[in-house]
Amino acid sequence: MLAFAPDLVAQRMMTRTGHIFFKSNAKIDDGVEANNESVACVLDASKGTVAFQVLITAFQFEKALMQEHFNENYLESAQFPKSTFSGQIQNWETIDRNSPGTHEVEVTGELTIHGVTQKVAQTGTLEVLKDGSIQMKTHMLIPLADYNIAIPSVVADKIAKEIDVDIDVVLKG
Amino acid sequence: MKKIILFLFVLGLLASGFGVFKYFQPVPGIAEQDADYTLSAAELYIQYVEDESRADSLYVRSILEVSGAVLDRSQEWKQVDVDSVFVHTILLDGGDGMAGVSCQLADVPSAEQWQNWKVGSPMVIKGECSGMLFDVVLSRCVVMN
Repeated sequence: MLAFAPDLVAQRMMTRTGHIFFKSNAKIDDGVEANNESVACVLDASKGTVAFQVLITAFQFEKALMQEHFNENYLESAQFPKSTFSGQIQNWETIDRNSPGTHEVEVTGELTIHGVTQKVAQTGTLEVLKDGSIQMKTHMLIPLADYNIAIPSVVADKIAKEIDVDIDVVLKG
Repeated sequence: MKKIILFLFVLGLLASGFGVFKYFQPVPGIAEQDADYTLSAAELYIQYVEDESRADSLYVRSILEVSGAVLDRSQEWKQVDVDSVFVHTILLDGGDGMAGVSCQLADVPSAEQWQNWKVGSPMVIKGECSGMLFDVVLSRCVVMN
């Protein structure tokens, strides 16, 4: 196992290729699922604060019509081009960044989607990798109504009201 | 009267068929589409730095053909639902040596291609513009040179 000298451990860690995958809550198969491989994330390792930025038009769907509706009707990406999160990793000071290992963490902060900001508290895993980079992963459920994402009545009974979201970022200094 | 009903029935059938066709139509590949704009990575990057809203109005969801030198590149395995995908990204220099145009490739390149696309290599890449984060982001990219 490698040990890292504290003064060599990076204070600002980031990625420009973080990953978010979402799909409709599994009970209804409506084909709504998409990937975004261009998530930006920054971690201030001196404080344990973390920030994400996501471009809505960078979510890739298989079906052209679904991608069009997602951007033009549901998320209105021309008006709200980005989704953001800013928050704090709880008990950050207890995480030993000098030793590889996996930690269960809670992150609290503010999530903004479709122009609406909500306070969130989310659990996930934080892994210190052998090369000193940090991988953060979580799975969360996002209720569409909380962010004023309106489902047209004609498809209201076909589109799930909540979205399953997987987030995976590897941060390097 | 019967002819009118038959006509409306056929019209309805055609409309339904078109609807089904549109519903299942995949997102068209970038390689088959002409670029809406052709410019250097530095030109694109500086336009975004100077006026992000204006650049968004011009370029987001447009196909751009961008030329520039490789500043950085990455390849990462990502979990997508029950599958894993090998994601390749090339960062073209925006002129300041720190950021520029991040191009996420649509397909996995061969080992030889990836070997050739080293830092400093001149590239021409076509992709769909998504906007700007640290860099200007192009998705579903294909390498043209």
